[in-house]
Amino acid sequence: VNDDPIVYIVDDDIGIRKSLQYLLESASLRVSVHDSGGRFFDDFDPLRPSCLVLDLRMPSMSGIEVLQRLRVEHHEIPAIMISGDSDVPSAINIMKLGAIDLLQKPFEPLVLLEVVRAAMGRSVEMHQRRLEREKWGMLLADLTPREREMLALIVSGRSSKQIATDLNIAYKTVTNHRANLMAKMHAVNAADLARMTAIGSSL
Amino acid sequence: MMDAVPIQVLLVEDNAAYAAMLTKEFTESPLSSFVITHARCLSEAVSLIRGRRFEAVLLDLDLPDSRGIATLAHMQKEKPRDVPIVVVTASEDEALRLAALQAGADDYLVKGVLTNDVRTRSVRYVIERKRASEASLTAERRLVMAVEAAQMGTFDWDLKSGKLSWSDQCLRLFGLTSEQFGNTYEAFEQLVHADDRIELRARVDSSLSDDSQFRHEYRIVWPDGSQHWIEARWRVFHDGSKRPLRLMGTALNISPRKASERASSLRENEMAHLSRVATMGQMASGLAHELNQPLAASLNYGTACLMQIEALSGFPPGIANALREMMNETRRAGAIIARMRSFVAHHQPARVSLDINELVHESIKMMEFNLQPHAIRPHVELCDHLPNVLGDPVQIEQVLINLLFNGVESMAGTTPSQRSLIVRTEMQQDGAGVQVSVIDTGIGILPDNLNKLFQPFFSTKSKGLGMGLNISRSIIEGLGGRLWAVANPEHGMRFSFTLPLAIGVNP
Repeated sequence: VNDDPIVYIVDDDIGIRKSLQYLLESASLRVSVHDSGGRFFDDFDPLRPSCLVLDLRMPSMSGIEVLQRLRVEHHEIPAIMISGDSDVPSAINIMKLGAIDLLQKPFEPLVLLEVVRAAMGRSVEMHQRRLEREKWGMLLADLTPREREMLALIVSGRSSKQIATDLNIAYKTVTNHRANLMAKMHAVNAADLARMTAIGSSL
Repeated sequence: MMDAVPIQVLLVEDNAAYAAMLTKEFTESPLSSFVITHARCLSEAVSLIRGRRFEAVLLDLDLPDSRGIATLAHMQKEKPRDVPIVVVTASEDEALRLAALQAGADDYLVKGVLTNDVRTRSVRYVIERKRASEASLTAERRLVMAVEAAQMGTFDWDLKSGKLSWSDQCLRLFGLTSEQFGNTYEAFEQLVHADDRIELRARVDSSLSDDSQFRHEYRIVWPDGSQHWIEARWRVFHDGSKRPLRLMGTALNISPRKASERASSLRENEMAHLSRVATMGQMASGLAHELNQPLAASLNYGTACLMQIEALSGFPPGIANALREMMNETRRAGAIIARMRSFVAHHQPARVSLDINELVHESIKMMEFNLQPHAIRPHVELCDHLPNVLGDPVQIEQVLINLLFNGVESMAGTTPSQRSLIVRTEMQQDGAGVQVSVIDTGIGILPDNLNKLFQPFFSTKSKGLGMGLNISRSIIEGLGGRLWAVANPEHGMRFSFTLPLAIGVNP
């Protein structure tokens, strides 16, 4: 699995493609360049943190169509739309379809770089969250029925003493279970455990 | 040879013996069969000729109730014009015979004994001659009527004497009375518009040695100062040694035709201008799109270089500055394009509720004169009860006309019977809008070129600018629709576009 963040560039104009590649690589970003939406989808790795610099008007599949397909396939990739037209009829639609920004050619490359970095930060964060979700989900799946029962009570805010009364077991037994649970889930306190449970069970 | 129908002859003769002799001579003629009706005086003859049809009158001039030439004059008034009169005279009266012929008698017979059917023969000839001259007279009269009905003036220029004769209608065409016209070419030339005189004279001169028909249009100025257009057609007649004798021809007032020609060419110019303005605007937008790409690329490279230079220590600062200036110039170019675009794009597209079928009819009407020479009548398949669409009528018509044009031109090389241009309107399949298609049976487009079709400056036409479809697509997309092309399974192409519905917009 390749976790290196990557910027996908999709534009039918070769001058734009080559210059963007040079610009982004000069800024130490890894890029993958495509001349059409179709080729981008062939190469797209949804598990890898990434962002998309996308031309609006292309012959076979327009930028809008690329956004629509990403949405249909539930891929959350931050997209920056670039356009050669000054009158973009569908700016609102583009933003509604999940583009995080829309830049007019000729745009300021430094502005683009800033937007790309922000998008990458967001993607890396989303990626991180996904990894956590997967990890915690797996840990939760490993718990015994008794531990799960205990977890639900802890997360709902009951103290160990209250839990001992609730389940009619010794207080010592509760604290043992609790320590086990914390160790298994790699949690430091009850609040941490609550967060992991929320994220991990949201899969 | 005997005639099937006997020739009816009225014999007016007071001398009974002579009448009997002539009657016998005619009725027994082996040449033709005659029926002679005998009148003894002029009044009897008049009542007879009023009552029935005769083919000739044999007239003795000296009758009990009329004498001499007066008899002939009276008879001529009474008889139908096409009935010949043959005067019967005494053989010695040469003077009277001559007077009778001058007064309009068709021939004369000499009294006395003659053999070999001289008289019957001459009456037959007279009748035939009269018929022939009547026929030619009728033809001439018809021609005169046609000339008059067409308000055609006629002129006849005798090149020997220099006299130029005009018909009354010709005078009317020039706004003159006969007293006002000098009957020479020079007098005529004065009536011609000063700017048209030299050309007309050159044309006339060149026609003098030629015997084909000539035609020339020129302006004239009436005495009241008004200008009129004349179309003259003429022919020059020559003598045996090919010297020009007469120049004869017709003149016609073509001012109304010229006015309508001018009106239609004005309209054409106006249309061409409007379409040029629209094209300019769309071209600016197409150009802007095309130029913004390399400008954006330049800025990308410049920025990348600058970032790398700035990361190095000890790099001459002049180079970084030069690079910054280069990029500023690039930005300036971008700003110029943006300004140019906003300058030509001042026409904000209207967003009004429209009946698309009406626009289709309008567009076809506007193209009529382009379609006629190609023998193409667009066939419309319009869906009734379509909801109104939202858009700019001028822009949508521009797209429709562009697509119709392409269709017509794609069929230029095909046989006329194969040509078909269909305009179809229908509801979009998902009901989100209205779809308009223009379908031709032309030469179509190579599959390789299908993708390039909407690119600016791509054209399969030798004279095409290659902006039409690019502009059309940007118009339709600007209105929130789509424009695309599909090759037909058999011949030609189908271009379709969609337009959003005008729901909730007041018409």
